[in-house]
Amino acid sequence: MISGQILRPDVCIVGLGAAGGVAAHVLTEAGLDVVGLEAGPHWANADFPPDELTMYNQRNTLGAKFNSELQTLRDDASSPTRPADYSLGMMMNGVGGGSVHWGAWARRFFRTDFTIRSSTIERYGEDAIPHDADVVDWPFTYDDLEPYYTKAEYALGVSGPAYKVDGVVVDAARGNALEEDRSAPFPMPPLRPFGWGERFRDAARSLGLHPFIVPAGVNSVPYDGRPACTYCGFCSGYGCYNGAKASTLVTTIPKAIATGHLDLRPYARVVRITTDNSGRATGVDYVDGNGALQRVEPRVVLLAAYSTENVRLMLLSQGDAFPEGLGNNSGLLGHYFMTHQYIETMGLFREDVNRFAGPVPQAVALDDYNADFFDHTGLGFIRGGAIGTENQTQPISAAGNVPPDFPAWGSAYKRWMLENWNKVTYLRAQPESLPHFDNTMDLDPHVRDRSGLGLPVIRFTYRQRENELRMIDFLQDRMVEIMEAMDAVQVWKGRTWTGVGSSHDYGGCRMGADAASSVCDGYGRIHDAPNCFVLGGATFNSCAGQNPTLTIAAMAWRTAERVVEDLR
Amino acid sequence: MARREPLLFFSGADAETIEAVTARIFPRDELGPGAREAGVTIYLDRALAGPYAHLADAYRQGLAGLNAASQVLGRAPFVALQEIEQDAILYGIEQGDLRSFGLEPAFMALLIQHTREGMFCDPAHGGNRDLVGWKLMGYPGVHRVWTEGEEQVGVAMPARPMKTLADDTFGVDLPDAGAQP
Repeated sequence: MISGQILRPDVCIVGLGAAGGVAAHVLTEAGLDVVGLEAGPHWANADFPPDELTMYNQRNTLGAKFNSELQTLRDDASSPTRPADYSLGMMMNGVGGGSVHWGAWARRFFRTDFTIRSSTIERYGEDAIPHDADVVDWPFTYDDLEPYYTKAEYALGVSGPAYKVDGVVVDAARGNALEEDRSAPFPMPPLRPFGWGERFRDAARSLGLHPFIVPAGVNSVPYDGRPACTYCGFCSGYGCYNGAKASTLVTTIPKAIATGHLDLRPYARVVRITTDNSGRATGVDYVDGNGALQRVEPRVVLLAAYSTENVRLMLLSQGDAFPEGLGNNSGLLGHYFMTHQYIETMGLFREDVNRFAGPVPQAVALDDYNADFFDHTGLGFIRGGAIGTENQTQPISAAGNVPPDFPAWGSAYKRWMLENWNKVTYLRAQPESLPHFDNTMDLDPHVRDRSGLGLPVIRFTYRQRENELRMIDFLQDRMVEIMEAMDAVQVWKGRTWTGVGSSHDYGGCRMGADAASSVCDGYGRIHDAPNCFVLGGATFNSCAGQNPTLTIAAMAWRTAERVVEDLR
Repeated sequence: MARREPLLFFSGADAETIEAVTARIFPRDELGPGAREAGVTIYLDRALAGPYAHLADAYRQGLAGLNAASQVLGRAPFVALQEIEQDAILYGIEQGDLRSFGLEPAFMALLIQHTREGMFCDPAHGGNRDLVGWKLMGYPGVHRVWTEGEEQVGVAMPARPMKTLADDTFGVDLPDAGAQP
């Protein structure tokens, strides 16, 4: 039974994170009336304490809803199901979503990320694509998205050195020589250099590589009414105490609220999208903070929850037009799940590295082994991943960095750890995983969430394939070379499997022109449900070897403009 | 054992067992204090009564298995064993040799992780009592501003008063919250 008055706005956005928070800004600036349903609270900066236990890979205190819906995992359809394991971190809930706790590496994707299939075939031939993978191009190009990358960089506030702008080299010393052309410089200069990062840059250069200062979604100087970063180091995995880190919570959403066109409803947990016999979305049902069922009947629905939650909501939204779930008439909803493993190579150094004195977005990386910037002939895999390193460490995580052949407890552990915790650090790669039909998300038939609603949780079916495993070996070998060039006294490789839930989880809503082989079009518009769009990583046709958030924000901007045109 | 803090999850006997276990995982030795002195048991008790409530069964089963193994292998409860016997049992759990007592290596991994948390968390959570963990490490505590000179490789640890969550003012005391440090 619906408890209250049914709202009838132009647009209802489900989830106010990196995607929904940007879309709300674009839609309300155009004068459309928007209801924003956010499952978590409306945080303030004072809700973000400098407390390691709150971090997204510790207790994930900001993710109470996510924590109550922990997912399950099986290797394949005939293997037993176990609790999912998480690598980099778990997702949070609340206004701003993952953009509150992100590491703020504000990376663009490369030209070949959007043409992954055709570019691979052009260079290596059709046989280079693994036969068990179903690799497809995206339905738009880098050039289509470039203006929106620029808009997102200016709306969120990104600090960085541009290598070249409109074809003219402007910062060869600090910029990324491999990045695609950009139409504008970054709105702010880069964050300041840090000792460990400079050692990485020097070593990488000595190996003939092209290291660069990572563009950061953090204010290096005061910007847009927000202060500069003070380098406290409680950044990735935390919310920012002074608003210097660019979340939609402190950038686009306040602007949307100021228009008077955003009706923002925190603690609103969407449970289903209803559709009519033609497939059009007719309404969004949600449970409010008092446990009462409420309903919104908008003209357009934007599904902007996290990738896994978008897929879950769609699977839970069955109707006459969609008996197997919203957008699932192709049977492809939830298929082609991809994720980043967080592959690390650890090094022990003679000196203290002092990485506690700064945040993760103070970072240095290289793309020489990413995308298709190196010749894969004879390597047995396609694509790659960015290799980089960053600031920020806290004591509990530092206490866990011991070599794998060393005791993890007792007096010997204590002595080694106390002596070396500030001398151990890592390089990390983000290996691209390829889309496979049978790497999937579906509803676990046995496990329900502990939220009180008791809805089925997402079950991942995921197995690493040869392409990914060979790539990981290759990237680890390259990281060992760099560590040795950095003068490490001991180097060891981390695990090749770090977890299925990474906070970089993609796929499930493949984009394409053909309704038989995709879930939605290049704007995220669901085939057969023309007034319902999917935003975020679920729509990615491939997962690239670098961070997704800026691409998610740019795509949300582009889709929101499309919706404005539709409703005009 | 007389306790000055209320227990929220463990029974008194279980608390003593946990204290003995965590004191072997992070022992007091010539380098300084260990888990007992840091209050790891109180940290864990509060955690299991709250944010780690979903691990309650794992701990109950683990503690039962630990004492069962101690009785069979050492003819005494875990707390009454010699340290070398206690270490042998913990090593056996880690190696997967005591599965017949329901003791999985994952339980040992949990104990290790939670001991580290209790040693090195902010003292607001009940562990790291008197900042013994941070002092052992030489971790300088929580600071909202670091300078460029302090984040260089090879420079000495900054001489700063060790601050915690309780000292944090969310930046309102910074000389100019908008200025480059």
